[in-house]
Amino acid sequence: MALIEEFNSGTPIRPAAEQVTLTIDGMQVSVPRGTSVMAAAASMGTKIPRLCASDQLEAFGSCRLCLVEIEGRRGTPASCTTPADNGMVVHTQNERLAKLRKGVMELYISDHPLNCLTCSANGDCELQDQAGQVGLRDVRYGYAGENHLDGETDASNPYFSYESSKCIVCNRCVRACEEVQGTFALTIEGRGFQSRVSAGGTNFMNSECVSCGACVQACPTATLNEKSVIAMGKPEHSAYTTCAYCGVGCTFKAEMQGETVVRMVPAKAGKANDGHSCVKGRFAYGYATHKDRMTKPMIRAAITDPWREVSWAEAIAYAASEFKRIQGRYGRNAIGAVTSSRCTNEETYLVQKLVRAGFGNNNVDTCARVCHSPTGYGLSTTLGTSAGTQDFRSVEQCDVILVIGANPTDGHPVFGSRMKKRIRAGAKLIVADPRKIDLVKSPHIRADYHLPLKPGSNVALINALAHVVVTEGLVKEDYVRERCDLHDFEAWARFVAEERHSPEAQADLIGATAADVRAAARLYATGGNAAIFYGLGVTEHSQGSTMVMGMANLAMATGNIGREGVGVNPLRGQNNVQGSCDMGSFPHEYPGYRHVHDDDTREIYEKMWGRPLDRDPGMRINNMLDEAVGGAFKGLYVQGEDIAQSDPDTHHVTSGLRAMECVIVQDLFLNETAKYAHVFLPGASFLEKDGTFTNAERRISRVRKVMTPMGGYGDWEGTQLLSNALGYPMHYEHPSEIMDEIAATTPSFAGVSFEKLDQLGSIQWPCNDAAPEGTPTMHIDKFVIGKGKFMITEFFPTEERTGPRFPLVLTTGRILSQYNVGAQTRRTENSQWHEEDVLEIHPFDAELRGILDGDLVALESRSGDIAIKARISERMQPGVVYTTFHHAKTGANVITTDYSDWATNCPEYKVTAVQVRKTNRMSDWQARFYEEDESLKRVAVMEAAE
Amino acid sequence: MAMDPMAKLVMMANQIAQFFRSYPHDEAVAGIAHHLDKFWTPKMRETFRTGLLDVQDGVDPLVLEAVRTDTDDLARDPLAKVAAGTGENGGIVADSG
Ligand code: SF4
Ligand code: SF4
Ligand code: SF4
Ligand code: FES
Repeated sequence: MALIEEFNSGTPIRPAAEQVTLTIDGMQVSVPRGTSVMAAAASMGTKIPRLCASDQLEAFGSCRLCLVEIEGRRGTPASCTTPADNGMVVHTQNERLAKLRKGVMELYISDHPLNCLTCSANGDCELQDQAGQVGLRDVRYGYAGENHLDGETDASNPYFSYESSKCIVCNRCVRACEEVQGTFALTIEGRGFQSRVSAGGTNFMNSECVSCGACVQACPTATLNEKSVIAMGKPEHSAYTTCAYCGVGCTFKAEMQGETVVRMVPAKAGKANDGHSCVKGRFAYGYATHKDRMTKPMIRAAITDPWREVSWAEAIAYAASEFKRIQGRYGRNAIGAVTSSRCTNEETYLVQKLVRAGFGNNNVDTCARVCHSPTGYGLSTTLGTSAGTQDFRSVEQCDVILVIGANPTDGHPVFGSRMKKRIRAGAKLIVADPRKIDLVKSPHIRADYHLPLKPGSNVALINALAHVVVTEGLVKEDYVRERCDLHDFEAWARFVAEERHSPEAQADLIGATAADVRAAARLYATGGNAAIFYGLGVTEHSQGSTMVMGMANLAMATGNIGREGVGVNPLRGQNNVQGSCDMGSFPHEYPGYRHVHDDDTREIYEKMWGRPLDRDPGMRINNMLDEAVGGAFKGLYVQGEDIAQSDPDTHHVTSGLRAMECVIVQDLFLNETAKYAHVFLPGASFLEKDGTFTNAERRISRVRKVMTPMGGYGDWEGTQLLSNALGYPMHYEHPSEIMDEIAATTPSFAGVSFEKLDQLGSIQWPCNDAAPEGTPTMHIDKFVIGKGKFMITEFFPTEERTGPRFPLVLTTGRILSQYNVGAQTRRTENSQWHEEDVLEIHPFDAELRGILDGDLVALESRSGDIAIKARISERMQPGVVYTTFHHAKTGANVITTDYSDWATNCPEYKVTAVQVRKTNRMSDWQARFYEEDESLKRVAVMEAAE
Repeated sequence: MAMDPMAKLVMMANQIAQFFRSYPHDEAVAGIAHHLDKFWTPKMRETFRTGLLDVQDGVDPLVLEAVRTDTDDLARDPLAKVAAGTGENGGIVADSG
């Protein structure tokens, strides 16, 4: 395998209505109007020397290396800033140009260290390449004059360093930070010879920098360089793969030395990310080889026993005999499984197959239950598909962006950057969120309207927006008449038109002014292409499903579904949460969202799997836990999830787990759930297996194995071993065969195969005969459901109420550098940005309680209490406190209640009534946590291995 | 916050009823009945039905009716699709997720 080199045209080539034709070095070439001469030349294979140009950035024209001659024009224009035009005749090489370029290179080199042989970028340096390309042989100016060779090195960032002596001030890093990332952390300070790159006058770590690495990737020299490259040297081969963190699903090149990752480079070929990434995907992969990785299977009879390392054969035999015993004694329904949104589609499919065909029940659920299950319910009810309507690129066509309950710059950073780029280019922005998230105001971004919602008032807001649309005559009547069910539309329109839904009537409840709500509604309905982007701030409520339907109603009423630039777009949490839902991880449906009641579908699987299948829905995670506490549910197979940390009401979850007789955990680490497990199977990271992930755009992308599984097997192989031992044979040789089975049985995946994925790079489902290359935009001309279905969305306040005992509302969220339960990111240098979870509290609420910034406070709800550090922050409204749940020891879910969405039981993480007071001790739960972190995780010391 | 199983089911059923109550009476009953049938396990339905023999206080009347009505006699479910079908891109007859 070789190193994948991606084509770089120097400046961007964008589609245009018109092509222009010119002649370069005697050859004719046609390019879209607006393309530079440099890119036109590159598209025919001619490399014009360049230093300040790179095709992810706009042309800048500063280095003067890319000069060309154009017949009929005077001088030697820079090819990167000169647009190609019809009839142009360009010469890229002749003696005059060569001389000029040599002169330019000489100046650069005269102020650049010449220790190329020992430089970390040796062999991967554009300055070196260009010196070679222009044939530089000697430099007339010595080092005697003023130079920068003693410049300082800033190594404050844990992942990359800035070695200023090597900087050629090409400005690429500054522009990458502005144009690609949108953070504006870097500037060029000083003028002329004095000019230097500056991270806002401080070092990188203390600056605004979010460590996305775009500047490192853009830097043509070794100035900004990954520390891993400095330590290890150049990679020698690479493979395309997909980030295993968030639902953006960025494509990366895993650049390797043997089986060791040297660096992860976001791929320009990746359609979800176009060559960009965030700090997690690019840098935080160290967890994959962290010393905490458990690589040996282990078993124990009781959770109070120490773990005993055993062979795979013994672990599997024990697990299978326990599951058989449990089913024999307590019945077929006494066992179940939890699939993982971190694992591949193929692995998820296999676990639900094992449950349905092997266990003989439908007791399978997934962590999407606790994040986006209302998305599935709400969107399939109204539109007909359990997924977002667009691709990410569609945001480039948006005129109005409505963000509700999402924080893209932290939660979905690469998409956040893309969104910010569009906003800087003029799209209007409405943010509905209890907090002043970054999008509300950040460099060159300011929301036109921030609606500072009170947590739990989403549905009241969406009804108020709809009220304005309907009563002010802003409904797109033709669209609705043609595409939607009119009976339902009329009922809905009558409902939202009632005066009680008006912004004026609802303002107090919502927390935003009536005038702002009205103005936002008008903007959304009349501002051109309007798109909704939403996250867990919508779904994790007792009315999560209602809110999703409400957003679909609003989008249909204003004609904003079915083309580019519009739509209703869930920003999915985990890398494969879309995929795990698609693959039939829910207890009531088979892959492709087909209900277990549906006889035709059941027949397909009975035939394929050779077993009779249960026609009744199985248990959701919360039912399994309830039944466990009640004594009827005894065995659980958990693949790649940590329900003891991520699920609400920790007391309830752990009581359920403690009541079980055999819990099998398959994971990279001994996680919180493993404290209650009897069998531990070592999991494999995304670097150790083949498969696919599906991102929030329904995009299926390949995950490629670049190292041997540390525990011996990919997760799919572990499932297969367990299935065989349970007496349900599975004989897959490779995950591609599992995908073939998925395609053969699931209409929306009918056209998907590993082979096609290798050809196309990625595919957005549905992919079948009607759409052989997939479907970027859904519901064009017609809704999948047939006629779009308006649903009535009455607002009901949550049962979780504040009162004298618990006067504050706690809402939860996440931050950029950490990821969910933190199992991966906590095991990387990302912890430098977020060592612990803190409680953000408004100065007013803090003062009332005598709380100072940094004080330890007790956070208490009806469910339990924890101690946590307070951070005083004006991002919160008075009355609302906020925390993240990236650290197990925080125990944020000790606080959250078991209220949940009415339709899907997605827990209400976003609203918990709490009290906060100063304390000087950890809570009882935390004390026990520390104690059990020792006692329930012990591994027996082994005699010399057999 | 462990709750007694019946109390939890009552809470869940009432929440479901709350959503469907916006619809005409018969449709609401149908919506609730279908929802329980589609998403609740047989055991949950059984526990609930048996539980209702003892406790009916605090249970939404629409729920009581939904549990009593034979599925074949139900009116139009508000979730029923008018032109149910796979759509052009589709192949998906989605229910929920
Ligand atoms: S790492 Fe990203 S945010 Fe930081 S300076 Fe570079 S481009 Fe800007
Ligand atoms: S740090 Fe690199 S990209 Fe930035 S100006 Fe210097 S050489 Fe150019
Ligand atoms: S945005 Fe998401 S998918 Fe992309 S690199 Fe970051 S964590 Fe990975
Ligand atoms: S590449 Fe054109 S001026 Fe630098």
